[in-house]
Amino acid sequence: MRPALGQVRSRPDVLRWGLGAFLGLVLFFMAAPILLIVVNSFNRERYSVFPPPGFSLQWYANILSVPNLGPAAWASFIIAFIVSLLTQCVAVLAAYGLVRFRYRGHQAWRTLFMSPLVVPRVAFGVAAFILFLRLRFVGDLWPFIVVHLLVALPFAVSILSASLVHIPRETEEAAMDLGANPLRMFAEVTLPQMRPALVISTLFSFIISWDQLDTSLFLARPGQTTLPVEMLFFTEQQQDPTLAALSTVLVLASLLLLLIGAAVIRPRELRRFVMRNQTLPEEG
Amino acid sequence: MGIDRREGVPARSYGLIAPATALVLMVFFGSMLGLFAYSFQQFRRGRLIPGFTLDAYARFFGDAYYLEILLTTLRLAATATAVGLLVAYPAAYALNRLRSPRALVPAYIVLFSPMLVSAVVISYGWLLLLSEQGLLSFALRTLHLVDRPVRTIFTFHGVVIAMTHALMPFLVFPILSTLRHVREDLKEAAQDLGANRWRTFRYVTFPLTMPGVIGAAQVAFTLSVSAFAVPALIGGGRVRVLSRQIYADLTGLDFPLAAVGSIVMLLVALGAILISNVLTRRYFEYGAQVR
Repeated sequence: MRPALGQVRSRPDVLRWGLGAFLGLVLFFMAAPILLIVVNSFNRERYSVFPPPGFSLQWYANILSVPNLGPAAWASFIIAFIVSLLTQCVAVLAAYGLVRFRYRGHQAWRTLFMSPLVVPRVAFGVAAFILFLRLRFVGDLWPFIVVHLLVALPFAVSILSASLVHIPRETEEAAMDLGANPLRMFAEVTLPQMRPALVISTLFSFIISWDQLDTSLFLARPGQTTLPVEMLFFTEQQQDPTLAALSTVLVLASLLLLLIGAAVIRPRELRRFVMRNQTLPEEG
Repeated sequence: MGIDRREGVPARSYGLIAPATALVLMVFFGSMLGLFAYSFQQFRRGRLIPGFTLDAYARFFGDAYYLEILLTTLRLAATATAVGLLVAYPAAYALNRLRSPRALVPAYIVLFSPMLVSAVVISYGWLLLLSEQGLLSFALRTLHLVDRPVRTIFTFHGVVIAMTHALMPFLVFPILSTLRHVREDLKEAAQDLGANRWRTFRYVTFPLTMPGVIGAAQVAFTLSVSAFAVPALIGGGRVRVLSRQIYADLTGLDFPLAAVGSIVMLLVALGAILISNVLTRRYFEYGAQVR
């Protein structure tokens, strides 16, 4: 294989195969638990033994008969849906402000928006619980929504501002020169160019909220829980393969979300996004 | 192109960051303040007695049980982060050398997978893998490395393994990003000066990636300190961590003690940031010399 001009020439040898094998091992190690869950979801026996003795679909049917799971799943969905939308609204504004304008103490603002990332989620959950208790901000789903929004905000701001950096200012200025007011410029020039990042950020915020456990645990009360919390309680009490069936469904749903995201973003945009490796920018 | 800074900022534009700022300040910092306030209250005989006191702090730090929990939590987080780094860095390095998107995308998805599922699912998967009748035990017995079923759940090491899995995306992607930013011409210059691949890596590439690695390690450490599901499910009652204890205290309505525990957790996270900042500054100076 000819190295391209300017690339570091390297011997194709032990190092390359060693690294490749190591990567393969790591990927296997990461896929193994999930694969095992899928395999176990078809287990005939209640007791999780490997190798599984037989095949059955009963646990999938059993999902529906577990108490609390249905309402919790529905609550999680609504919360995640609202969180994903609201987070983008807040984050787009904040990201645009951060990237396009030089505020005094620019770094401080950025650190401020990233701060929920830095604090242990359990501590945040407890603190939020206490705050909402004192404000009597309890009941229904808004406590969860607010907290999840803050948990997702750093990721959204990160992804969106990284994308905005690559959008040429000239396109916006051209639109303004042609007579568009700032709002129209934003809607017709900036936002369309942010599309891949917006889609990814929205999906990511949804997933963060949907899977959020550490904060939800402290906000939950009887009759007002989310799916991960209920699943935690379920797993602590018993480990029959119903959990495996439910987990398999959830994993498939996540993959489906990924596919939807990939379909909405045009292949060329996605390729550019992947190659630029924007998934988890941790700057500042 | 790129970040364009204007001279002077129109006052209106502050409105852009207003919603985010308001949320973060009011809810996030507001709740932290409330946490502090509660930690100075007293909890006696099941009732909350208002007034300023260090009673809760005394109860926390005076109890060997709590101190041991804190120690376990720190040990767990440090071990998981260290193991995670040892696995993630070579993996990121290998990924960096991959050029075809067709191989990259599946690898990305697998590495990203812990973020697609909740911690409960990850823990359950590891329960299946590490239990006595699980896959690991089966594999070890089939290879005749052991002659009895091996139980890795409810042990410290089992929790470390599962946590490492959960930490992978938070380590691999930032390290990969940092590796990508290492300029090729610097490596070429080193090689032109006669360095072999190992010396190039050790004296050029590795130091240049240090800030990114330290940053990733700090995030991973904070996540590990706060982890609830993995230690609770894989550790059972044997591996007791701070998050679990805080939950127990809160459910027992001992708000002051739960608040103290949360503040301790917060201080640990802030300590990690402090240390990572100090270390980064050292390496940043080194990197500036290389540039």
